[in-house]
Amino acid sequence: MTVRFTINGKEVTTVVDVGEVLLDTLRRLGYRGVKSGCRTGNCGSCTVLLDGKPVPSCTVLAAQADGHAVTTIEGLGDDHKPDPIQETFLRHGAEQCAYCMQGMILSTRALLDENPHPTDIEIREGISGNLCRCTAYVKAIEAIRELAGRGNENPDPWKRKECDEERYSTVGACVEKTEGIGLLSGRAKYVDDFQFDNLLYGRVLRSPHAHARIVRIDASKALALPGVHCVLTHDDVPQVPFTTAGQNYPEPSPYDKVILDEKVRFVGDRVAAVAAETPLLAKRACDLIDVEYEILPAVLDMEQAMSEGAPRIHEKEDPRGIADTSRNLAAHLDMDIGDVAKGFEEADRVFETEYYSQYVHCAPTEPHVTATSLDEKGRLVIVTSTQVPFHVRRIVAHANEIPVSQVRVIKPRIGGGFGVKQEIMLEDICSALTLRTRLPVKIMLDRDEELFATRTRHPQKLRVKTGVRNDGSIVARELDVLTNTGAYGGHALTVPSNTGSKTLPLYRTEHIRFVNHSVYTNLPVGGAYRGYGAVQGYFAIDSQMDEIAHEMGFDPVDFRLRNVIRQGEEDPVARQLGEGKEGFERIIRTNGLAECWEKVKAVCDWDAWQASLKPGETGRSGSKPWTRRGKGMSFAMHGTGIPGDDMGAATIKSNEDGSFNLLIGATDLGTGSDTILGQMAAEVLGVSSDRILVYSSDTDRTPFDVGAYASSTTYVSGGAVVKAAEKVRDRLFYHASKLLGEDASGLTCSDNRIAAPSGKSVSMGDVAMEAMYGEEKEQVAYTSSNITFACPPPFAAACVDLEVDVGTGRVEVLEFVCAVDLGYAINPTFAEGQIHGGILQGLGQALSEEMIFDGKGRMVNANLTDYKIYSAVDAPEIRAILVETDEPTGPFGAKSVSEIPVDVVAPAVANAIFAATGLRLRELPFTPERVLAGLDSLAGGQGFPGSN
Amino acid sequence: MYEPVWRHPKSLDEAVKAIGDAGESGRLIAGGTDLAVLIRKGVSRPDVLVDLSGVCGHAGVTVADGRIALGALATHAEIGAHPVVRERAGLLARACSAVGSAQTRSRGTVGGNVANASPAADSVAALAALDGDVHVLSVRGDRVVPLAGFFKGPGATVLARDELITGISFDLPGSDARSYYRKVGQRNALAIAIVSIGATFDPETGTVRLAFGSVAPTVVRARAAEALFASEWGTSGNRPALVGAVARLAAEAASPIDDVRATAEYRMMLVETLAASSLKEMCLGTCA
Ligand SMILES: Cc1cc2nc3c(=O)[nH]c(=O)nc-3n(C[C@H](O)[C@H](O)[C@H](O)COP(=O)(O)OP(=O)(O)OC[C@H]3O[C@@H](n4cnc5c(N)ncnc54)[C@H](O)[C@@H]3O)c2cc1C
Ligand code: FES
Ligand code: FES
Repeated sequence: MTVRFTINGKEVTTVVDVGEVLLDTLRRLGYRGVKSGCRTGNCGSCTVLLDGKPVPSCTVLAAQADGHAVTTIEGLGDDHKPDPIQETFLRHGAEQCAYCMQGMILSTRALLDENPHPTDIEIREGISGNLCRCTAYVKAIEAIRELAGRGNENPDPWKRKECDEERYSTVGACVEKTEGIGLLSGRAKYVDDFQFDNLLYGRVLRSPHAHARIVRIDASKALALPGVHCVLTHDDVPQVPFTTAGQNYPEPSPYDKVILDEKVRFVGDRVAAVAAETPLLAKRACDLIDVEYEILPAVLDMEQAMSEGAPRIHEKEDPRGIADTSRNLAAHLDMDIGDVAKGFEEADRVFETEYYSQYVHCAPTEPHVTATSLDEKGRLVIVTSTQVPFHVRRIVAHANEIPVSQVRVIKPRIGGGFGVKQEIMLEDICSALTLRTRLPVKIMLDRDEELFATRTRHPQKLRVKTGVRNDGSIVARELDVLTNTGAYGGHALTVPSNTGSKTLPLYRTEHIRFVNHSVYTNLPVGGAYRGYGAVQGYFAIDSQMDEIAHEMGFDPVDFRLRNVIRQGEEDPVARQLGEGKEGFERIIRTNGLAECWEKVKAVCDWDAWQASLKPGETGRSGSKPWTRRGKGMSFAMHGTGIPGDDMGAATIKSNEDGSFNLLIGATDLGTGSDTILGQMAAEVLGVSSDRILVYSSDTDRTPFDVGAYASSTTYVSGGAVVKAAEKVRDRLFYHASKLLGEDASGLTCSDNRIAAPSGKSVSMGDVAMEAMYGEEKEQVAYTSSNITFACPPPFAAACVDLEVDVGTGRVEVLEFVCAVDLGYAINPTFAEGQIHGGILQGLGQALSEEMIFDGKGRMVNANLTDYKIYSAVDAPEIRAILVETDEPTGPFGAKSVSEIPVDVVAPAVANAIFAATGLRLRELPFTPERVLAGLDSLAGGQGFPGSN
Repeated sequence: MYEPVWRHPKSLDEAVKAIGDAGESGRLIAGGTDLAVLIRKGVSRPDVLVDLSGVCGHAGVTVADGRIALGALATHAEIGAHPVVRERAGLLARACSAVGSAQTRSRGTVGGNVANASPAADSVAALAALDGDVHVLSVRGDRVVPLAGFFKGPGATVLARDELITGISFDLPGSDARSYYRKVGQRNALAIAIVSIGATFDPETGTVRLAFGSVAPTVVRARAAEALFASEWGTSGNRPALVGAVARLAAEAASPIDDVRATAEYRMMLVETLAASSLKEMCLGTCA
């Protein structure tokens, strides 16, 4: 039918299918600021204003908009004349990946138009339909408060907003994102925004069975549909084993996967792939593929996986890297320091408890999306939402049996990753479709596929046994972990390895034993997720520290601080337990944990809280008669990059006007690393940050980088930027010395000029001009690479204040305070943003998120209604504190910040629930139901006091 | 290609005729927050879609003759913000404000919420406790169906194919009446109720009405508990004990199941707890 409406004030007439939702119509018409994240009305990325009211455009048929006025983000302002909301959001650093922000800005517009002075609650309500996975809404709310004419009543307790001018001019300042307003006005290009001629839409047919053999596949009916170009089955693709884990070569993960297999190992596993002219056709084609399965018994329980007679999930003899296929054992770890048996004998008290960490998903707002095409030379070009473009290039080439030289990978703007995009999820198969059809193919996962068919945090069962002396020292600790890697073993060795290596060194222990078994099951596949094994480990270790303190009558903080690893000490675990390889020497050169706690303690009034507790009573009554209030704390340390493994490189070339191109393989997934790396280059070159033109991640144009994982970008890639910038600077000094008639060795650069000790100076532009067009004519450009062996740990301390509703079991977090010793904050705004976002993801894991499966291994909550990510009305006040310790091995003293905030959350929450009620929860997440059941059993089935 | 007929009537008469003509596979669409997604997914494939959004005189909230009348097209946002609803029927304002997110509330309608017949529908638990009436119209004439008799099961109502809801109305509660609405979900926004309760208390008559969502195939009223309350409140010497007994009896109205959001057992615990809290707050004035 024909619809007529106005879009951003312009009359538009277009023909639509009656079944088409407005989201698709608008994107088709070129309004690509309207983003798609779930298509069920839950995420709000597709929000537009319909007659001034914010609505998710995926819940409106285009036909319903007939005769109405639509406003998209493109109608709100542009880089020349941005809307004040866009400007204010940018100035506050409200955005990270910004995928959710187009919608959130429109909701804000509608809110402020209706109510120019909203209260905080009204602000939160107003944006409650715009889920953001990167941030915790803190800075967006700050920005809206400012727009509402209020100052920031509740600023982060961290104060420095400008850099330390004594030392630096750009590094340490709250520079705005280099992408600028384009990121908040719908102009930044994400994968789905790229245009191709003759594009085909790819789709993967997924297994309905947890474990089955494909006996027969008949695609003839699908192929007979007009518009269906290709169906691939396991007969059509190379059977080359690889791992989907985007890790350095040789990957420490087993090669247990092929593009398409004759066996399926979990509900959601690939069966076949289709390319067709429309998404709907691709879906219908999948439905028409006739598959005969031989259904095999499934293993849905990690304990059962290794038992005698359990079905074997991987049968091929001796695939590279699997520990023991006959026992479904993907990976095994065993480490001893000292003699734990002896240690336990020496201990006065021994504690042994078991913890469980559930299946959770990164759930980036932008699902996985990949577009492949052949360029004019017939090379494969992959535009993809990835954290690891260079690993994608290598793995796709290997799996498809084509040379690396024939593959180019481009990473445009990415709508969040958090680990799940460290995985080759679509690139291999999308490439196979393009190689077969010779046409461009795009695959964008549906939200449900994203949740059940990609990668998850590995569920773990953790048994911790700790021997303590009466003086509060820890003599021995044994951590025995059972890890569920699901159907494939990507990260099956390295995630649990981090469960031990990131957590066990935090508290000094004489005798340590660490054991892990990673087992295959017929469930979704474990992968990388922010915190990478440490999250599970800290939940166990720092919960138990609280339990021990309570049992032995120690103050929980003193007990921890007494045992914390000190500056100057060596981490004994690192020497034994490398990440999938040899151990390494790791000296703790900086440790700001005590300062972190001092600051947290002050902000959350810890001492007053402790003093207010009545002896003999657990917790305090809350704001209502049926609530109990409690505070809990926790500590953590993490790592920075993978020692001896992570490599980042940077190329800097100078232009004749004194600007520089910074080409980096490092991948900004919304964290702001492009900006941060630009700040570092600007600092070294003595120019303002707008003179650095950052271009990231294109395997044809930028140097190698392992990619964004292991909290490595600022530290590892940053180190490369500094080295390259120093070389460029020194070369420009050479050219400047000619212009100045001064010796190059004494020159310095700042404020876009190069100066000599004599006071003579010349502009960077003149020097660059001289280099390029003067006598010698040279392109000043250098590439440097950087690796690290130090892996300096950031430290964190946290305190959460919460209330437990003893009638319903609901836990309401009132405030979360977290301080991180990150070495040095290159960009404090972004660093705070990392803390906010990490805490909110941690709260999801602690309280509301869980992938739930039925008895057949099917995920039953694969949607954003029932897989519960926090909205603005759920997120508590989160306060981030930055502690700077000036790490000597890091660029400008930096360590890392992005993963550690997640580590502290679950134990702090568990400890606070205990403080409030006396209930110790050891199984995540703490859903209202689990809390209530726990309270009930605590009260001997009599109903917890106050519950009704 | 799926290409249904799109009807955009401008009046109630036209709308009624359009849905009457559409036959078996005709469907009304109001805000579309439930239906548009189902159509996009291909789960729902009506041959004729009758868009109600252009039907005038079908929206808004009116207060007259001691009744509050909600037009079927009144959005959750409108109802939640309406001053009389907020003052006299606070539970409905709260229920409507608990639907989805601000974005869903500005689009979703009360008529759609009722017609959709989800046992978790927020406005329905409140309307049930207000003894709402559903006003229904078709080419064959109009009729009024008490909400209590409107639902047949999840997604099923007594509406015939050619009938549409024109509105929902209920008695304007007295100025000293009290009410209570609470939804327990796992999140504050965008959460489907694990259990919801809508309750009213009229101190003048000494009666309560208790309605629960998500604990049975349809929203249910705890009639036996209400009767116990009505018979004993006026004379009871121990009102806190009575409230406890009523809450326990109220729980018997529930017949919950396990689903992805919670177990039946948890729901049973909640029903009693919420009934007790609502009664204490409304009737005893204590916040416990
Ligand atoms: C993200 C999201 C979150 C949600 N959260 C909640 C929630 O928390 N609580 C809740 O209760 N609901 C929730 N909903 C459901 C939905 O918003 C409500 O049910 C809404 O009130 C439906 O109204 P509508 O006008 O959009 O209905 P539509 O989608 O237009 O229609 C729904 C059904 O009702 C029928 N219908 C509509 N109007 C009439 C009429 N006048 N007469 C007869 N039949 C009619 C339609 O044929 C259709 O079958 C949510 C939906 C989304 C997308
Ligand atoms: S895409 Fe529309 S709400 Fe998520
Ligand atoms: S910034 Fe909100 S989802 Fe990334």
